Amino acid sequence: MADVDLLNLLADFCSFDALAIVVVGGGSPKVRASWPANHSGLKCDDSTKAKRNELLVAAGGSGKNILSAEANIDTGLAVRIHGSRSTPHDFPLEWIERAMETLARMIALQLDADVARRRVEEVNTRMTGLVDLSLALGQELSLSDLLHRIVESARQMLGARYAALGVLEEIGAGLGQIVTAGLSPEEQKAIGGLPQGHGILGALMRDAQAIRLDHLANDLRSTGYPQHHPPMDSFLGVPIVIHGKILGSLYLTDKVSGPFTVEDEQVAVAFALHAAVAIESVRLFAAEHGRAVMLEHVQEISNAIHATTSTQQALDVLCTKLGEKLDVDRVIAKVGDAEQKLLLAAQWHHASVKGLPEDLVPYIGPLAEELWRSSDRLAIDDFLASDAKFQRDQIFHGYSDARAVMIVPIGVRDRVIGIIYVIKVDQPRRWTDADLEVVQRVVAVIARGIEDAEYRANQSEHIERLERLERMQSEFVATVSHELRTPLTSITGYLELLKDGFVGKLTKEQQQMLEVMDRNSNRLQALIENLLVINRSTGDFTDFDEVEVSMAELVTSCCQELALVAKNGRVKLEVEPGPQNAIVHGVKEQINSVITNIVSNAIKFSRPGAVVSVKCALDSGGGRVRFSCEDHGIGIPIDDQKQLFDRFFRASNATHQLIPGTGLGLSIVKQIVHDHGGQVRLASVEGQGTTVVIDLPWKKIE
Amino acid sequence: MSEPVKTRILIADDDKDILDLLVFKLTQAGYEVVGVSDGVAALESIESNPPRLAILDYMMSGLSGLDVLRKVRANEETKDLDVILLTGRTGDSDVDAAFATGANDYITKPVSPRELLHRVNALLARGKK
Repeated sequence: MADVDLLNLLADFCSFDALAIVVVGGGSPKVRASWPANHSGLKCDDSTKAKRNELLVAAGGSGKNILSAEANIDTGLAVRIHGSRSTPHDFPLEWIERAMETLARMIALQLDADVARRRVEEVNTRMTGLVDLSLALGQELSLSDLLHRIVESARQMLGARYAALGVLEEIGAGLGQIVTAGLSPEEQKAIGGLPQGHGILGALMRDAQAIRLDHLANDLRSTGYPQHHPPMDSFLGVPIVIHGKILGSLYLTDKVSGPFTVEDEQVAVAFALHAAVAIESVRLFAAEHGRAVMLEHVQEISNAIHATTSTQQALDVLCTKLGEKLDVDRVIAKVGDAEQKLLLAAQWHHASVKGLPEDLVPYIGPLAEELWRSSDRLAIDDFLASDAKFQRDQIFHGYSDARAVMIVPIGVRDRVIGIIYVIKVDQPRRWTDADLEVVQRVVAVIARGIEDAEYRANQSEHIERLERLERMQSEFVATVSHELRTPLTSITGYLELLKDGFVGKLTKEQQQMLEVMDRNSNRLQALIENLLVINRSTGDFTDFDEVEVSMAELVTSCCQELALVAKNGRVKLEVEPGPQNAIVHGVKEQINSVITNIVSNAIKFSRPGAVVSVKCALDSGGGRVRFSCEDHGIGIPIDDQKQLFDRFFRASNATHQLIPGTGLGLSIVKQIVHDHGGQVRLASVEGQGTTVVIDLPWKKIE
Repeated sequence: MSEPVKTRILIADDDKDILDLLVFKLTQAGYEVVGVSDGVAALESIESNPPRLAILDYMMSGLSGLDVLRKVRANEETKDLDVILLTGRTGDSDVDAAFATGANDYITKPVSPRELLHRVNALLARGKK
């Protein structure tokens, strides 16, 4: 039944000439219904008798003999009924008041139920709205569209006049993006860009707590609102948080039907969560995708670099590919030597910008060194932004059209060999982690390539030098032997003629003198041969490869070489090379030198006409190859035998007889034999001869 | 055995003392010896005044003993000349090169004049048979 009808009934029943129902709560008192004239919805004031009189007169009554009743409900609502009668009531007043009270209570309960029903409806609508939104978010939309959806739904659902959603930049602290709802396009345009983080918004982001205000202007933190924005009164702001990280904020202003409630705040939080999930997943996806694309780029560029055949070519390819892939305007790469002087440079530029002169910066610069040492790189998004201006002059001397740059040093291990600049001209550029990573990775590829090239060049240079030295050495030996032997030929030759009596008979004295000359020229000859052979074999070894060495072969060749020496010393060399399978695993040059040393010593210390026996045998049971050299020469005094293998020691009788030698030979022999896992022993009797025995581990070949 | 016509031997060595030494020795032994100091002269002499035997020093400036030997062996008229190479070098490769190019013998310095004479006699005796 309508309220007016109820009033009609009451009026009839109690003979009222006017009635009014006033509802108080949630604002100023309002007329709910009045009779006979229905002023439903009118604002009124029933606080004083006079006011009530006015009210009832306005409703068409007399305004006299006013009776009132009131009913309250828990929610703060109050319902009051006022009635007037031209003449005093003839019923008991309590009856009438009770009737009025009952009616008031009925209406109050009804109102309450209405409110409750509205609430439930509202919640249902919101639930439905949120579910719809969730479904919508599941569709493929761009982040921007998603945010628009969210902010508009929030605005509608909460009945706010304006709403906005701001997203913080990923790097940096300012807002990167803002979407609004409720503003007209003209208003949007007038307001322009992003709000600064002052006042309430700042507080919201900083404290990450929801802020709900009935009057924006009253809050201490408020600093007003953006220029050109329509005035705002009530305010509800919630932070957008995910995993404890603030991504931005959602705020609504000017709720039409009253102040924002706790329930509104909860709804806003739900919207914020949706927004958080949406933003985060879009970012994650972008990052993943970005990463995948980055890796692809790196692979492509690496392949291109590996296909080049020179460092210059590699640098050119690097610059071109980076320029294209990263969509920049210039790429400059420089590579220098140890003194930071420029060795190679390459540049690429987009067709729309001019190339830079070659000599722009003729050196690598200390920046590269600094960056390499601190394992860092430099990325400047906008030189025109505040403090970055000075940096441009510091980095580029005289070149000034760079707007944004990435600078990455090129280095190998502990030294920097170059630097690369990736430049955007005229426009700023937000360098992403992916961009930086691409550059760093391909720089590493180039650096490795340069290092390899250097190493190979070094190697081949080294090998060339060694080969040259070897050639020089054998040339030297051949030439020296010839040079020394030539004059000797004349000496020995003429001596022979004289001695043989071809140029006249000789006196005894003359003969004796010739003998002396003969003996000494023989010595000279022996020395020359000895020197040359030893020189070749105890010098610097150039080859340290361990191989299977045939002792039989080695003994044979050594003795062949020493045959001349032996012949000159009138010493007979008897050689038993031993079996073919006497193999030793070791450095051929070194073992060669050992044998040569021992045998040449034996020859050196032998008297003319004596025999030197060189033997090599295999002791398969004992797993060793035995090399022995026996001479019948001057021998070695017992006292000296112990020290014989010490460096620079020479047996006293050798020095006494003025037989030359450095004293190094035997110590080297001992070293080499031990290095090969063998043993060397010496037995000698002064005046009778010496035997040297060397045992080396046998390498059995299956 | 002495012949009515002396056998001609050519000796080439750029060291004057050695040349004199060897010329003296072989002349004393009864040969007609021609001594020259370089490869070019040796070749000229061989071609204009062919000897029975040539003793060539391996290392001479200009044409070496080996070069002369090569040219001698390449020339139809002189290819059968007996040649002994004389040298102070003892590399294996030198010996191989000498014989590969066609030397009949090879002596290393310092050369004993007596021994050289024996070798010359032996070589010439072989040829006679």
